[in-house]
This record gives sequence, C-alpha cells and structure tokens, in this order.
Amino acid sequence: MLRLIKATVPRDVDGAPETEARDLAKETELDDRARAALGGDSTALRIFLGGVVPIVRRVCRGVMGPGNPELEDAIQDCLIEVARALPQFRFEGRASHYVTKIAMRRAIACRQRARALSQQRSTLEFSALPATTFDPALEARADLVRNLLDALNEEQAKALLLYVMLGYSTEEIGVITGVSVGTVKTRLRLGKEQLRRWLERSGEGRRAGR
Amino acid sequence: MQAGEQFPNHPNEELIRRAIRGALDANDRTALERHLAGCPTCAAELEARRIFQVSLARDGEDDARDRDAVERAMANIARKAALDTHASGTDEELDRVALDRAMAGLGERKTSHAGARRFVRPAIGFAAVGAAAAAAIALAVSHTPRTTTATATAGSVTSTRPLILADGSEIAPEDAATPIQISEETPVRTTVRLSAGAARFRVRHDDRRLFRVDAGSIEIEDLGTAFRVAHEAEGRVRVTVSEGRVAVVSTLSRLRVELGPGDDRVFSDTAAPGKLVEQPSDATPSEAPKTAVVPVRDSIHAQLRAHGADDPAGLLAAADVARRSRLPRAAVAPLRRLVERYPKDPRAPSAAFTLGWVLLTDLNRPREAAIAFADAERIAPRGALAEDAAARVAEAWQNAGEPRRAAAAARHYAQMYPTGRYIVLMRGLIGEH
Repeated sequence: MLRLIKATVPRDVDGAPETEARDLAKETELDDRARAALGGDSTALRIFLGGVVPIVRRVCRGVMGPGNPELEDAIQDCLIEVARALPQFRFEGRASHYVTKIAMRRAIACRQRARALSQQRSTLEFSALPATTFDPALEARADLVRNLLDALNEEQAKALLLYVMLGYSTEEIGVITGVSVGTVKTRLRLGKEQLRRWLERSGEGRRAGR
Repeated sequence: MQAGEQFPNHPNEELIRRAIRGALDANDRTALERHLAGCPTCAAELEARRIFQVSLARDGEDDARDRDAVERAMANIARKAALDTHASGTDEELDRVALDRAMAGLGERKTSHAGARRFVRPAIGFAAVGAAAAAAIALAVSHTPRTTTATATAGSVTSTRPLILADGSEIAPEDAATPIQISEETPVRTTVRLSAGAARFRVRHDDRRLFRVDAGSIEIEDLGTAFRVAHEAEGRVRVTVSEGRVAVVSTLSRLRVELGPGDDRVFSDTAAPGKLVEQPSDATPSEAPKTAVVPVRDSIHAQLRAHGADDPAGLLAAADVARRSRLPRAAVAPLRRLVERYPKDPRAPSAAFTLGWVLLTDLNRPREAAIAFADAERIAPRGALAEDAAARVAEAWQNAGEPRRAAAAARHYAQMYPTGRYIVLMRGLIGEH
C-alpha cells in the first residue's frame, strides 16, 4: 500500500528540476533566443526550440505522465505551436512562461483526449504506456495526483499543476494564467484542500493528529 | 479541528522549496516537521511536490529525445509552410495519382478501394511526383513559419494571413482581403469575427469551449468540425461543412440550424431578418464546395514528395503527418516500411510500437497490432518499450478474439517480467485458460 511519507522533511534529491524553470540566467537566455528566432532565421528558431523543449517536455510529462503514448507527439505539437505563436509574443513576460502556457493547454487537451479514447476502446485496464523506464510505485502516486487534476475545475487544476507539479511561484502562476496573485492563492488553497482530501480518500494521506 | 486553525502559519513557498531541495537548517527542519505533524494539507502538498520532483527529473535519454523532437518539429514547420503555399495550386487528380504511386511504393496494402483509384495517367503521375518533390523541397527551404502563418494565442488579433490558435485550431483566409479578428479567446470561448470575404476553419473541438464565428447576421458554432464561411453578395453568407457538424444561429432571433458533412447552404438575413432563410446556391466554380474542403491529404502528399519517403526520418515524418491529419491508415505503410527495411535503426522499436498502437486503437486491426507489438519487443528485447510491447501483444490477441494466443503472450510476459507492471492483468489472462 502506498503511504504518505512520514512527517519528515525530504532530503536532497538529485537534479532539483524545479529550479530549472526559475533559473534567471536560463530565462534571460531563452528570451534572447526568442528575439533571435523572430528574425525568421531557421537556425535561430532551432536554437530557440532547443532551449524550449526541456520546459515543454516537463510540462507534458507532468500533465500526461511519462508513460502516455501520445507524449512525444504532444511535445512535438507544442514545439510547432510555440514556433507559430512566437510572432504574437510581446515580451511582456518571460518566454518560458509563454511556452509553459501553450504547453500546458496542449498537454491537458492531449490527456483528456487520450483518456476519452482509452475509455472508449480499451478492453483491458492497462495503465498508460511508459515511454521510458521509471519507478512504477512512484508513478502510481503521481498518477493519483494527476487524476485529482481531472476532478478539479480547470482553473484550480492549472494552478495546482503549476505550483505542485512544476514548482512555479504564486507570482509566476499569476503571470502565466493571467490572474492576480490573490486569485492564485485562493485557487491554490482550495486545490490543496482537495489534494489533502483526495489523498486521504485514496489511503495515501493522514488526518491531523493521527 | 482544521489544520489552518491549529497551525495558522503555514510554511511559505521558499521554505517548502528549500525543504524539497533538502536545504533546510536544523531549526527550520524541526519547525517544519512539527507543523507537518499536525497539518495534513501541507504534508500532502509537500508529498505531492516531492513525488513530481522525482517523477519529472530528466533521465539519460531526454537529451536525445529533445534533439529528435526539435528536428522533427522543424521539419514539420518547414513542410507545413511549403504546404500552405503550395496547396492552393494542387491538381487533385495528379495528386491522387502521386499519392497512390507513393503509397504503392511504400507497400501499402490496397484492398478496399483499389478499383476506384486506378492509375489514370501514370506517366504524368510520375512526372508530377518529381516536379512536386522539387517544388516542395524548394519551398520548405525558402519559407519560414512567419512568412506563411500567423498565430493568435491571446487578445485580439487581426490578420489576413493563416492563423493557428494556441489550441491548434486553424483559420485560413481565402484571400488577402479577408480580415480575421480573434475578438475573444478564453478557456471557455473563442470568438472569431469574419466581417467580409471567406475563410476555412479547422477547429480542435473541446466540449468545454465554445468556438464561434461571428459573420454578421449569423453566427456559426463549431460542434467539432472543419468548415468554410464565405460572405457573398446582398448580405448572404455561405456555410460549407466538410467534417463534423456546425450550428448556424441567427444573431437576431437565435434560430438555430445544424449542418453536417457535405452540407453547403447559403443564409440571408436581408429578406427575412432573423428567419435564417436558406437561399438557392449560385456558386461560381471557384466557390464550389470542392475548394472549401481542407485538403488534408495534401499534407501527406507533401511529406511523400518532399522526402522521397524512403529514409527513416522521412518515413517517420510521413507517419506523423498522417496521424495528425487523422488518417491513421496512411500512417501504416511508412511505419511498416521503416520496421521492415530499417530494423537496426534506433527508431525502429518505437515505429513498431506506434504501428501496433495505430492498428489497435485507431484501425481496430488487433491481429496485425499483435504482430507489430511483437516486432517492437523482438527488435529491442531490452529496450524501454519491450515490457509494454509484450503486454500489448496479449491485449491485442485478446481484442482479436484469440484467447489462447492472448494467454500464450501473457505467459511470455509473466516469464520475462515476473514483477512487471502488468503482471496482475497477465495472470488474469493466463488464468482464463
């Protein structure tokens, strides 16, 4: 049975991927790459997409799960959309936020489509197909949280996704979703309450004082 | 008692981040542990963040996957640019011959409609393939996305160029004088204003979002479809549906008419305002529905022409376009070709798996799917997809109504992966026989 970790603070985890999206130097570099790509040169566009693809992969993998058979297609579609949306980007925010917004929308749509398809056609309840090797127990728990996102309303789900899954701050989520920080905090508070109840119902959480 | 009442001071974001990174000092750690012991909400948040930090960490193959994704995206962008420029002048008959020739060369098994697709002018067809390939390659090299497409993702945009919205919906004005205005684009509603001219729409349908075209006296609501809207003389508006359904709604009376595939109707609000009166069609040849249908197959034509269709990258690209164009049948041949001709290519296992997936889920051909999944496992028995391919073989045979074969495949899975992810399901299949 999967259990919530003890009330101890997690120790070091190699990689610390959540710091990637907030790395200021990387973000500045990505903005520069976006400006260069706007010049119409395919090499510059390729370099820009090369900088964007880790963000896109992370968003898509987070939303869809690493085993989703549509994952690579979704990533590629996101890159194409990002390239085509670039002329509309006015650099009022970070390019990484713009990319995250596009990727998140696409990834959510892909996840919903894949779920609908699997419900229609799958005769066996196979879990999603992994595109890579991963820890099945960990992914089972990750899927648990992803399933919660399907149950939340879209705005709460997006806020929780960006905060818990992708590690964005409330300010960044406000920029990405186009709402105030106060609204983000409200959505997060409600979303986190739902998360707690969801984990409790799934046998993963624990009640206060337990 | 609620956690927030017992512990009003939840840890701030920075503290949580440092906790996830394991960068807390002893005091902070103690304080946080004390808080988490009584606050299940924060404990749940921290647990979820930790799960995803590990789950989303990049693995050793991600760099290679990223490079491949970028290259394939670049190739698709260039080819789409070429297609956008080239498609309008396509001779449908020659294209069909070219496609048939190319698909025949790829080994596609044509059974159902071979008679209807006889090679009318094969010599011309071959010439067309060569000429079109040269043209497509030249266009792909010389056009960047900015020159042929525009994209709207937020706010209001007016453009006379083809637009691709952030959700992937496409709007193609039919001439430079057609103004397109994205007057609203939110998660619940997209409204496109077409005040003159004509445009084609290919909408990514989303049940939670209303996609509406405001064409003056009428509105057209997407119900999951590709369609064309054209202003004509005397305030009439022609709506032509090529796929799916649309609802045409009078802006005055809100009367509503639904149109389906092949419907080509002209509406006028002048003669009887709000009545949604259908007018007789007097379309000129250039306005005929034939030209309104988005030429989905052209994208596959372009792939085949541009690549010569016989190297792994070209075959994969052709399959990608076919799948994205919702023509899974057209993806079968290039994938099968790749697997058969380039079994040692690193992309072959993925191609075999994709082939199995398309056959199983899109085409309902489970027997062939089982063979394709078996190929995926055979080509790379220690590959990342091997376990899933082995399980899918069993699923495909089960779907094909072959329980004995399904059980055999399940036994193979159980032997290879006794603690595998699908072992419970596999045991179930074995147990049935």
